[in-house]
Amino acid sequence: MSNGISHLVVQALGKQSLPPNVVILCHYCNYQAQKEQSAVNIIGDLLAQVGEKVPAIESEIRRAFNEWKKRSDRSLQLPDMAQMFVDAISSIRRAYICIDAVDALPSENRSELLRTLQRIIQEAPNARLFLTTRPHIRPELDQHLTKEAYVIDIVADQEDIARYVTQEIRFLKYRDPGLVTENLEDDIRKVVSEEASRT
Amino acid sequence: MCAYLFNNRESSGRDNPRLHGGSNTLTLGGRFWDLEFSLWSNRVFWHAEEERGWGNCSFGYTTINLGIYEESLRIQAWLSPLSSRRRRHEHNRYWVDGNGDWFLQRNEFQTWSKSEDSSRDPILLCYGNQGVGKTYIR
Repeated sequence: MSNGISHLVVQALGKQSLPPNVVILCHYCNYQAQKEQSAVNIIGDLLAQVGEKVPAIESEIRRAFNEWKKRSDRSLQLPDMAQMFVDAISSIRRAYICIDAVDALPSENRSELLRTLQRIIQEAPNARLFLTTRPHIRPELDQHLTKEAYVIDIVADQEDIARYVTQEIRFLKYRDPGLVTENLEDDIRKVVSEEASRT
Repeated sequence: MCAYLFNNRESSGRDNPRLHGGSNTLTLGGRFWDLEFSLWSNRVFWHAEEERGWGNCSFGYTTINLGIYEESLRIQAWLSPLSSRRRRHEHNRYWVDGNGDWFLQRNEFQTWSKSEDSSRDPILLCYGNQGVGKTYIR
């Protein structure tokens, strides 16, 4: 297994700059635990990351938590969560928000999340948003995120795959020196490359 | 200060994890030990592994020492039952040098990530079919 584009972006942004001026927040969506992956929980996860990275914001969150507990035993709702998030990142020079596999969310959660992200971008001009998704939900993104966006279409990159296969084969050879003959190595490369060009 | 983790795997259910019962009881409903599915517990486990702030942490019915992390855990539970922490660590383990460099050199990425004009084009969207390497290559 090897890193994909979304994590690569997170790493590359991290090399450019560091907290407390810039924070990089990421969330990976998946097909499990669909109910939990609501907009309010995803924004909450991002906010928790801001707190982890910027001590001043962590104490701000702590203060908000204690006040909330005095007033209410309900859980946080989306408008409050979004407002807290906007307030938190407003004190930072820039916040990169990276969300992987948006298409994995159930559709009602997804449109709620996209609307909230749109609001965050409008209210916090220092927020930058990076999303990866399968293409079939493109109309939804166009509908909810009305700001101009850069678009990159990703296709399987043969060189990336070759590098990945090289690493895996090196690992196999290390684990079991007699296992991978030269012929087998060539076969593996050929099959993987043919499979990849089909996606 | 102790917390009792209630292992409720048999009766399953997807209850949201709750903290209740005063200041020293932590009750988790649902599949607490099922690491693949209980996202909230990821955060707890990463705390255990990273911070070494826990007393006894073993499988089954377990008593752990929350100590100074109790308030942080309550705050995290208040913010979200989800945590991307475990995933971020996983990604670091599977790094292949050079992979995706073509992406980082694209103009769209360069402009999006470096532009100081914060009001312009704040969004970068990446579309790709299943299996092209958005999340993993495997």
